[in-house]
Amino acid sequence: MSGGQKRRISAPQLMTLFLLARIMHAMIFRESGFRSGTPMMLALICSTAVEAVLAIPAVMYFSCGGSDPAAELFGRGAVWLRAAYSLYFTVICGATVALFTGFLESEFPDITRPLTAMALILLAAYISAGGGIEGLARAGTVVFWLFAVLFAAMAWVNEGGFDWLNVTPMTRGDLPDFVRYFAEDISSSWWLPMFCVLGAYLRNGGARAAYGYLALKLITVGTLILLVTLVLWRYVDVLGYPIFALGAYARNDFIQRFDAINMFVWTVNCVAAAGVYIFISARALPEKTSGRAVMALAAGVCALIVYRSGLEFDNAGFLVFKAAGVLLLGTVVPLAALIVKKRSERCKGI
Amino acid sequence: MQRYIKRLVLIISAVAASVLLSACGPITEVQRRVVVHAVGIDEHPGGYEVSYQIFSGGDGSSGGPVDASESTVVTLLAQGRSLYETEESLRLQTGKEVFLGDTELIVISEDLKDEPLDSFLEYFRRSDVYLGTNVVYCRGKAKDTIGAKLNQNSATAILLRGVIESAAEAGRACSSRIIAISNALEADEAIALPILTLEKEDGEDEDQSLTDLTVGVFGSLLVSGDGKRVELDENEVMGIRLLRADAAEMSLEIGIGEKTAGVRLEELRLARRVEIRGGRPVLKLTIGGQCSVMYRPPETEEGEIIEAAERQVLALCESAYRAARDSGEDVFSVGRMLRKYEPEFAEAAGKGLKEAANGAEIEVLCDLSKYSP
Repeated sequence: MSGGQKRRISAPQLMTLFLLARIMHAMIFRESGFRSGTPMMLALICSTAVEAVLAIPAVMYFSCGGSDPAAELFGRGAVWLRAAYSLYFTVICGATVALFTGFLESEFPDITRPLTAMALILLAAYISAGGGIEGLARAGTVVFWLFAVLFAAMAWVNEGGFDWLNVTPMTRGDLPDFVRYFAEDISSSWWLPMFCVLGAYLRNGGARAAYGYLALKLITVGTLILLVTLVLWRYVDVLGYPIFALGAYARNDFIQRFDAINMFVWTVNCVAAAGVYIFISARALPEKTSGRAVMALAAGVCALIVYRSGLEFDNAGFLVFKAAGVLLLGTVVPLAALIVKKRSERCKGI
Repeated sequence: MQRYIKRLVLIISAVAASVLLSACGPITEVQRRVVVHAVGIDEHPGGYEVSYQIFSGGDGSSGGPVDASESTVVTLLAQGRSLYETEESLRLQTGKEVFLGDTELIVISEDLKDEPLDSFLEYFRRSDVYLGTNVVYCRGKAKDTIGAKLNQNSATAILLRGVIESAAEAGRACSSRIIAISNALEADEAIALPILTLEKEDGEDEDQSLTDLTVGVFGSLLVSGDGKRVELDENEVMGIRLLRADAAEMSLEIGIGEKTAGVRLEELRLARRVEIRGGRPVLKLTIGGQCSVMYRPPETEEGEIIEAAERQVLALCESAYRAARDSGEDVFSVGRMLRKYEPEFAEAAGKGLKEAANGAEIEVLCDLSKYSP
């Protein structure tokens, strides 16, 4: 890693990148029989608590002055471990772009051909990744504020009223829903492997970035679940995409429909998130090769496979893949790196 | 040099993205669309006759400003075995794409009241139809209501929606938005949909028969998922709104002795609690609010008016409770209240929750002492 002082980002910037990736997942998440309510809210709280625990090794590793868990473990021979990160984020990037294209196709039919949309998004993401992590972080901050303003505006001009009867206590019958949402939320925590890679570029404040992100995620996703439960309730299943559904019931004299604004913000968010994934994937390849281009192409192939096979993020196989990546690349690797680092420091001390 | 090439690539990508993803792609131009404002559904042999109230602003070829007056609102009829077929029929009739995103109102003829509401809602439950669109029934043919000329004006969708909103403000109609209906049916609850009635104004000459019509909401239809239909009068609807915490304001005419007074109930609030007594749910409700006098007989005391208003509110609740009990439906969201406050009872009741909810006793207290002369 060629990390000079110029290639460092701040904790809030890293936090924003994590949040954009999570928001992107929430935007394109769709499942049949979607039931927003108490089990989902409790699952979010529990999974956030578990994520806080899972993040401890990475936070401690970067707080101890570590910069690259893969290199810490295997030195120059860390290529295969980097390749694992690379593969993981290539698949995540491909799936994100494919599912976003699925969203475009279902909500805005006849606008463009899906393959063109995928190619354009990946091209834009490839170019964004070329700006380096600082460029991505700056662009991400702008996109985050765009999203925040849009989210607040949609919530503010929403025409629905709050129905507190929709908030019911959890019963034994809700347990399967709770377990499913918990598993889905944990498996979508790929900010942990992201942290292991991008932590190397962090100026300082690894704990601030990780726990700040978790707090922001809890507020953002929690607010979304609460609004969907109180205002839209079961109707969200009809519309499919929860954040989009929030905009579908919002209008005033000035803005009658939020669809186009949503599409714009979501597109730039998708480009920013995919740009970060390509940037991470490209780190596995030697610097002399056209790493970004290769990874963008690989993500394109993944996107095509996911799109053609009609896979969704809640697919069981996908769930296992995502969760395995989170646990192995996001927790086990930094934990091992932390142990190795502590031992070597002890040896040096002796 | 490389920097400039990079910038050029970025600009080209941005332009390509905006052209291909949002704007100048193979999309339908506004002149090639039929923008539907209201939909009326009538019975037709073997299917439906649907009246589409559309905005007809011309093809735009003449230039100049678009004429947005009511003369540009026209109603077109299309028949088909299903609503999808009628939409296709309208498309072929006009040669334009049908756009339902601006639909303000869906009117169903009362001749179709026995058909499951879901068979209509299924068609309108799509992402391009606004989920706040009102769904109402009407006396007689829906095409007459949609296409009526009211006091020299067309019965535009906005005007009809205004009529429904006024009735709702006065407390005589419940919310009838697609989302509210859909969620109520999903929760196995019944919902009261307003019935639009087209009437001739009194005292007008016979020769003005086409322009002396008025439209109003004078009743509602209690609709449930299992196809049961019960007609409700205004008092029953007002009671339902009070007991469902669905009314913030309401106008009442109250009797004081042999005289009458008019009051406006404002800042209405409902505190709800449910408890299990003797194995049966008991709903405990407290209605509170402010009572403003609009007119009153001379020499009437403040206490008298409040007392009469409270009596009237309790009478409305009583009539709503009787109507709900007779219908056998869960009208006051008792099932959901049981799930919230008595989850063990609700779980034990299982599929019998609706019956348990309908068998609930209701105790109502009313306090309108926040008096405003």
